[in-house]
Amino acid sequence: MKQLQESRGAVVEFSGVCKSFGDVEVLGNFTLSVGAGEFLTLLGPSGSGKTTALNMLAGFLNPSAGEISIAGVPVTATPIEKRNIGMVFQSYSLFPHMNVEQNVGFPLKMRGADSQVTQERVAAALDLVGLGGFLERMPNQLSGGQRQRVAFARAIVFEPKVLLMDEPLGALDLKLRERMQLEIKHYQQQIGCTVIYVTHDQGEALTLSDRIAIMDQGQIVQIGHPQQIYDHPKSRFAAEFIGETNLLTLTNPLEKSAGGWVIDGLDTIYPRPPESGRRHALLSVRPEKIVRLPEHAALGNGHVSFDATVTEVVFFGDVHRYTIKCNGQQDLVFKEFRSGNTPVLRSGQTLRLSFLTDDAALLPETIVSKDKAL
Amino acid sequence: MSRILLSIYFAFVALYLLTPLLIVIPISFVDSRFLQFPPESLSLRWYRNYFEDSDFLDATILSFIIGVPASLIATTLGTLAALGLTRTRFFGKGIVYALMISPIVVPAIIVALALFLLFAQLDLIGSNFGLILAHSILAMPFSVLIVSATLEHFDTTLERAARIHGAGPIRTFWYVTFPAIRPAVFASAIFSFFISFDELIVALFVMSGQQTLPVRIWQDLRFEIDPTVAAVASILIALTTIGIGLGTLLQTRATQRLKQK
Repeated sequence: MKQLQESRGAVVEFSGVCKSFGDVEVLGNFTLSVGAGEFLTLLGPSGSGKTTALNMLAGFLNPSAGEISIAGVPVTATPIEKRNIGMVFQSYSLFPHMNVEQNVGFPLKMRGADSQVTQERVAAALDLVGLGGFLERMPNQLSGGQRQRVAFARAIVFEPKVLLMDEPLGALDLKLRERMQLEIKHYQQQIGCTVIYVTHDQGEALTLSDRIAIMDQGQIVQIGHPQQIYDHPKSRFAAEFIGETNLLTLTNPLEKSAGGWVIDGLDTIYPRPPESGRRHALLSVRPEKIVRLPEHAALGNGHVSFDATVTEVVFFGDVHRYTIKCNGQQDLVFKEFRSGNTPVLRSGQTLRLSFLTDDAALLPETIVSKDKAL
Repeated sequence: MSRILLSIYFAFVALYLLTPLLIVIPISFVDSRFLQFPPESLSLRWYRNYFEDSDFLDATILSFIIGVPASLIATTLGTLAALGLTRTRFFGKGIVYALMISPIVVPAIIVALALFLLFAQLDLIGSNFGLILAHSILAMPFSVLIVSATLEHFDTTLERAARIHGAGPIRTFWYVTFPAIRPAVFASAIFSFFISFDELIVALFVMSGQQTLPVRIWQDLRFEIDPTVAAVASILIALTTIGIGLGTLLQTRATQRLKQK
């Protein structure tokens, strides 16, 4: 255990990395710097280039252009096995003919460690993941979660400074996935290595990461702390990919006296001065930021309030999720934690809702295209 | 109903395929000096005769001397070819694959003639080495087919896992890929051996003087038909059945093991 703690992370840098397969460019001018010991998640839909970036860092693919370095040393010409990187695969990829001890000991054996050191380190790594007594088991005698832990132990047993995880929880069921998320976070904090984690699951990204890089079509569209990305998405893609959101179309009234953007379909004003020259903008409002207003309540300047009719009520256990219609046209969603003094709304009920001006994020896109499905 | 019909159909096909064997095996146990079916009285004298006949024994030994190296060469080359063909994509791959398999398709007599002409040029007629090469050519397609069938089910992520955790390409093959395909490689070695062990036509063309077991049987049939041939044939059938059975078992297990994941 003590040995494991001494391992520290290395800085990983992608500079101007491109990758094309034939005529198809899957990664274009990809530049990213990951700090030592940082947990960075590449988040994006399939085909966004996140796995390609990871595979190039591992050495499974060669960049078409650009350089990748680990701890300041360029690695694009380094053979895979000399990069000293640990990796956890989605399919676990434990060697089926080796038992747990041999699987976890494999990286040490390849490095020529003597058998006593190997034994100690394997034991320490398995203790870390809570599988101390499983040395003799074969992979097919383990459950999915146990295989995942063994794969993790194998990836960290040789104290790599960089650990790659490619959708490592994708094959597990929901409950186990949530538990493993916390465990992974916990192990990483103990080991201190740099982790680059690939997933398309935004919940996983929010839970685990120090920083999230959202990828779309071979580009990083936004990078930042999970909370920062959640609260201040810079694009429609980022807003919709992380969490749930309401998108409102704003129109520039072209007259100062209006006091801000006009929110289409809500008959109200978003009190921020429109940039001159922009006719439309999009506003992203998270469902939990929308709250009920007591009748005839007086509001200060920092609010947007509007009337709505409930059209659908969904019960989630801890929250109620309401679909509402404003002015009979725009569909919005808002969520409310259950508590004793707020009665559950019924379908058909009308009420007044509001959100804080600061809780909404103004996006650069101009139109909500209804047909674009994510 | 259709199941019963299918079973009856299967029984007929099996009988059709096995009838020659069902005749030859009883003949090997006759007591008379002539091939006789059904045998009037039974004995093992023709089996004894085989083990006492130095010509037959020498031929058997020669068949092993040819068969074992031929099997090793065919299996090694076939495995490497299978690895190459399943791992890469290149223009003309289909043609390369077809060429690898072609010795199965081309009539044996044509292959034999071609090898005879080639070996005459290279002065390989009558040499064991020549026949070993010839037989490995005949056996290699089977090796390619058997090993590629298994490799289709092999998850190459395992090789990536080995590489990233410190194994170079050769150690990756040795520790990860080979153990996964080992049963198929053994199966291919067994099949290849028996392809050589049973082969007559090419051996007739390129061997002069020395006789492999099938050549010896052939000569025997032409000049003096006695039931020793039937006894040898029965031994050959038994050996082949056991060998091929073992090979099939190994290969099925290999494929299933990889499919399980």
